[in-house]
Amino acid sequence: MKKITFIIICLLIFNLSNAQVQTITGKVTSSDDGLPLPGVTVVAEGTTIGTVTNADGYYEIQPPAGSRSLKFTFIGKKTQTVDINGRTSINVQLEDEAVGVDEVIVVGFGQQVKSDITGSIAKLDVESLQKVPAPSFESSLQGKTPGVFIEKSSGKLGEGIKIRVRGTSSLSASNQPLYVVDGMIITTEDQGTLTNHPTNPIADLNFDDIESIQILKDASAAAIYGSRGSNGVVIITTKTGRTNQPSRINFSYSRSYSEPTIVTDFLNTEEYVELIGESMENAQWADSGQGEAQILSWGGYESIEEAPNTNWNDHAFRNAVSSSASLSSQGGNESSQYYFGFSYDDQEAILIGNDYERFSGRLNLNHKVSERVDLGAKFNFVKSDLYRVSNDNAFATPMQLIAQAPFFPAFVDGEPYGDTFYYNGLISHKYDRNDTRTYRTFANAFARIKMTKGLTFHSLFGVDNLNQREDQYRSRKTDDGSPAGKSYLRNSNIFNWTFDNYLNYTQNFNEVHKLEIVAGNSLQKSEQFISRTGGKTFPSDEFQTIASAAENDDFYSFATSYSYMSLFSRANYKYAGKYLLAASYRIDGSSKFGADNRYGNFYSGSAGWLISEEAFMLNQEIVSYLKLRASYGLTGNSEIGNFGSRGLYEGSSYAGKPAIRPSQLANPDLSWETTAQTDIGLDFGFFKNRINGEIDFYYKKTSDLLLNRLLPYTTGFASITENVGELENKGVEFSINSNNLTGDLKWNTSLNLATNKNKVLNIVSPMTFGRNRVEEGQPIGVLYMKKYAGVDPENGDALYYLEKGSDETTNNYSQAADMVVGDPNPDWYGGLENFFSYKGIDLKILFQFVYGNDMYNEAGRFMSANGDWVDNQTKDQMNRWQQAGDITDVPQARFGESNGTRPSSRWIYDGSYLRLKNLTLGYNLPTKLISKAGLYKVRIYASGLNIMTWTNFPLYDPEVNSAGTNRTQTSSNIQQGIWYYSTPQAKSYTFGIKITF
Amino acid sequence: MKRIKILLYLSVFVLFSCQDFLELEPKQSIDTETALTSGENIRLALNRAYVDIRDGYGQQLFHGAELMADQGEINFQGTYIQPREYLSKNLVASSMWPESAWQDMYQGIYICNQVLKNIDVVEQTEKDQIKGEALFLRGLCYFDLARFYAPTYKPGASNNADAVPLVLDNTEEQYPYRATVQEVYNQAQSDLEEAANLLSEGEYFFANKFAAKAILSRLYLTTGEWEKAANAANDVIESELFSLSATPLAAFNHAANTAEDIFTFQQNNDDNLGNESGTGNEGMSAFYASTNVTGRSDFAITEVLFALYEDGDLRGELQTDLTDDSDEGDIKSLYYNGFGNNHGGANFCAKWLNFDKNLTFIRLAEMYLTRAEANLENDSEIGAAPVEDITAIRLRADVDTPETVDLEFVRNERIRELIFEGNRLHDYKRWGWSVEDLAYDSPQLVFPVPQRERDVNTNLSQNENY
Repeated sequence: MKKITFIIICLLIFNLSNAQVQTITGKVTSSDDGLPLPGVTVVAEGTTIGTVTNADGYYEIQPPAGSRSLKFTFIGKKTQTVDINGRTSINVQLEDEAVGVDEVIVVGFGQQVKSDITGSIAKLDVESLQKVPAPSFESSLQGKTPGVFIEKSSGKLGEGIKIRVRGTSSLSASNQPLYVVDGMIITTEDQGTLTNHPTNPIADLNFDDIESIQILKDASAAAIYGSRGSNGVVIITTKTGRTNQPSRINFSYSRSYSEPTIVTDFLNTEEYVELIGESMENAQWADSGQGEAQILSWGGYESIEEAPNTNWNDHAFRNAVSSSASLSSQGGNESSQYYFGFSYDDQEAILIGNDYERFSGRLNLNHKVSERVDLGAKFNFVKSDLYRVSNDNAFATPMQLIAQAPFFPAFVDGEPYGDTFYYNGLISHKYDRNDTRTYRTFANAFARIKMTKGLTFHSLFGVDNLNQREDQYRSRKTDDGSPAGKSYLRNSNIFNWTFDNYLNYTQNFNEVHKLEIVAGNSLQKSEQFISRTGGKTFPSDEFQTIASAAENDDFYSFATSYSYMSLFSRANYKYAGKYLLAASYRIDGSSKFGADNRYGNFYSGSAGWLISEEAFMLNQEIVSYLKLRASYGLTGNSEIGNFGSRGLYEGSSYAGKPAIRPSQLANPDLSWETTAQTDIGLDFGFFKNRINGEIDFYYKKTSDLLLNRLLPYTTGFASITENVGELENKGVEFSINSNNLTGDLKWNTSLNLATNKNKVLNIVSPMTFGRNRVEEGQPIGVLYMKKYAGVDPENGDALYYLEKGSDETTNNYSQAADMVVGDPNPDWYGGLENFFSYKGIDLKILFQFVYGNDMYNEAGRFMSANGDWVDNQTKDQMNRWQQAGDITDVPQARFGESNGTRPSSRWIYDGSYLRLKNLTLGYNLPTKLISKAGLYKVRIYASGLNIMTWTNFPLYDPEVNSAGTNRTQTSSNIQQGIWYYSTPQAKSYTFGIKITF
Repeated sequence: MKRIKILLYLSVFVLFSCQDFLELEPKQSIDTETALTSGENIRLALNRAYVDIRDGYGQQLFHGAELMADQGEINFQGTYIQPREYLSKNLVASSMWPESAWQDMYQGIYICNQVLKNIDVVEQTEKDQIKGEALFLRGLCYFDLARFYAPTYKPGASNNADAVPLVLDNTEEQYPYRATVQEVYNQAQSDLEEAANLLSEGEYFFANKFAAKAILSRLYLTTGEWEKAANAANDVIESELFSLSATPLAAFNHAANTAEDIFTFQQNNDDNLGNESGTGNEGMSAFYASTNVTGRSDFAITEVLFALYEDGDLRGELQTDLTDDSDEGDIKSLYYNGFGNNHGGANFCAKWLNFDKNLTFIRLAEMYLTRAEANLENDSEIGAAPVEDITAIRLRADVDTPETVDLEFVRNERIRELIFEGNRLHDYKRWGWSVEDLAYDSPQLVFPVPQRERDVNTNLSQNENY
């Protein structure tokens, strides 16, 4: 504050000594909401004389004589220069810089203005996204960025979200992008036990703390991350106060009400008894005419009248209520800036027993020690609790309640009914506990030192510490906990640190050459320690910690680690403001690579041409911005096992005696996967950028694919990891924004579309995981099984095609050929957003779609299986074949005889969908009204998520990706488009308020 | 400026001072090169072979031999498809249990081969026992691989149908062909015979001499070498190291071998097949035992089973007084009424009550039955007359003893005694007995060569019917 006062006094003295001063005053407001903008820099052009606007947006300046114009600059707003023309009062409205060409983009180890960028980088409009609370920030990116495919695995909370930047480029290694938060590579791998679905460590980031998100998509942008750039890089920076930003406090609160998007109907008691009874008669489980009596007697009923009619869906789902509150503040003076934010989230899933609770606190500080030296620190602490249900393959999980026969009651006298055919998951819901508690700390410290003109040294040390504790109790009343209760505890700790040092050199030569060079080194190490204990035989369910267990049930600890040591550099050159060249280079060494292949080289080159800056473009009004970009580069994927190259014997035991077990064959040549990517893009703007957009074409070829080459079991091993195989991804991304209306009523439309074609070029042998397969010439994970040919009208037998392409059918399942019957990869995906605002009211409507993907119902063989067993059936099974001549695709019901119930294309469906993803209506209360109450800004809003879904997929929700049981990295890459008792997505309505004062 | 220089130097220093930065070592593994260079490690590796082979038997193979021979004794009231496939004798090439058994057995064989290859680093005092165990396990695996994955052995015939690949050295051919039934039996026989010579008598935790002889007696029964079969069984009985338990039930569910056990696969609370990740969805007790013991109440025992026994036969006795408050200790008969959730009012078998108890593999009672059967076939009285052996078995079951016995009686006695212990299908096949409407040599009673294995190794032929 003293410094500012001093500066002002100086200015005053200067002004007094100048006889010809003129004083100009005015108010700066924001064009989108008309609110005053504090902290705007106002400078008399051509001089160093300037000021900043005060808290109410007012400024006063005395430009020296001869000054002709004032320049107003503010981050996030378009810079405006206004001629003085002898005026003494100048009010200015600054417009948003949402798609401005001078927007600052954070890239690896630095930042650049958008017009200088030669790569393909998507920057998200975080401010607009934050208007709606999101359970995890990635989920709110859905439908917003071309080339970035986002899919939630199900409607369960706290589980992994699949993100694919420009397709799937690896079969065995992770395909999730690299996350760099405030310069630090964070831990994103699933930390949960393998017997449940993956958890999502990224959910620990509080969306409200995030200032910017950019996604590096092509090689020129990602190559500076070398062996970890192939899947794209998500660069996130968190908020910091700005220089001379008046301190404001933000408070927000919201409350959401959720239900499943879609619920599928199952048979009622009458239909069930009819179908299963008939099935039993057909298969001689019951005498003719006695089938219904037989199935009823299995349920313990003498007649249908005494049997209840339970809709088990009603017991699996609930109307969920969630709330979220946050408090934050940011601001700064000349030398120090700060941001702090606290948030508390309490979310309920639509599935019973599934909740998520998170507390997060963050403090970010910057301080200018001297003219040369800036120091800063960022600190974030998160505590979260995830209350989980069992995996989708367990009877204990609520979604499997739908398998129960409808004639059983869910509860009797308030207790879950115990004599259902399948274990009643409501028992587990009532008596079991499965809590995952996570403590997460992100902390870093950094320094920026100006060494000489244009040369800056950067140093950053960052830590990401993750502690996760899974605590489970299984009651003696449950299947998994009988006979006397079991308790399990699993701890996972990952300490992950980064130490980066680099130099940045920026220089302009002769006005036409602009050069920027970055070079430095990076160290990273991650150490993980997992421990588990388990106990059983508890005195009673009142004792739930292992201290009370009479017997041991599990003991285990495990440690692993990996490290990277890297050198990197990048040069950007701009000539005459229109010709751009860039190159980057990185050497990565990693403990993960084989001894014979310890260091890898990664590089990229790119060029850009700002056509709109050429002389021949200057005399027209239509095209305001046109840039052609091209890039080529090599990136890697090193997300392989930590000791994948070594031949290993692992410790083991045989009934109390120690043992060693051959666990892995050696491959000292093992290395990263290499992706060569070419990108050609065009950025355009018309009519002063009122219409603008980008189009990109890319071709990615990944070679040296890390594959677990399957070995015959007779070798003693199932597979060996080798760098063999190639695959390609090619695609087109297109986005366009249009400011249809400006003025009081604003209307903005943005559309994005992307397609990606994936093809496996070369692998050693086809790989199969469940129903998905990888084979040459096909996209990853095609659905591979027998092709269902419907039902023989003569006898009700299920028929299958004998051979691919042939019309010949057989009723012998074994004789039918396996073939590719579907592709789970979408052809197109994208989103369309319309934004309207009028005075203080704004309305956002976002549609999102996925088109052209096939889905397989893995549970079809149980739930849509023409009454083959006691599972309740989907309604369509009532169309079963009953007598000669019936034309249907549901075979005759034959109890226990697997008539058409083995895996086949019978349960393949089109998974395309269109969703009204988000509709938000907001209202900013008039300033006049709230300023009386001492408030600066008040926004109230109502928002709907997944409000409407249009799809032909017959089961619950089409946005689903079952993780499968005993998943591995490979299986989760390949298993796609599988529905298996998957929880549908939530449809939510949120009401909220944001107050700034 | 000085401070900045110091910082720069420091960062360069850090980078170059940590050349070991990339040299990280795994914490729960050792390198293959050093793993088998000491006698201690050879022993440790061999211990693991028991685990792999146990896990192959303890569910996939034992269930295969019992459920594929089932004629209504079991009413499956569970949910898994794998046992249903066995029960309906309706396997397909991609059936999971035959595949995982194949994998487990060959993993075990791999270890045995590695142990035999490096046997010279073992000290002389240990060498015979360790070599004998490796041969025993390998011979056992090949014997059962041939019994499950190949057409039935027919004594006197050429037996040249494809059986399984015979891998004796894993550094050789990675993509082997299937050897013939005769070749695999020959290998199994020579491994087991050599094992019987090398193994000690006094070992109970691991395989001993009589384990090898007992398995050999099974093999000789299959190949129709009656005298050898009778002698092998006789050697075990005459060793007097083993004795029958007081009651039929007492032979089962023990944490340590009982006097009746000739060989078991060891299990305890911490290492067993059945309690992986605490779900208890695998192994024997998971299927056979009622809920509230350690099972899923899947294999309900029907009247068909009880009809095999005369009144009062302890081996067919059903206990009916258990309630939902009962526990494992209250079970006093070989069959009992279910308790806990979802038992569906059914009765269950008490041979497999708990996953943490040893996996009964071959016991003395079988030796009496084998000696009796082989002597009848051979028309001899090696060790004892057949009727004496049958009498010994029936006395313990507290049931009338016959004056004379014929082959039919001995065979039925064998089923009554050994049912649900993982051998029935092979006995039926030896005797030419059909299973329901399937002839003993029906291809439906033979496992498929796993589809996965044939996808990877195209040199493998497939069995008829798949």
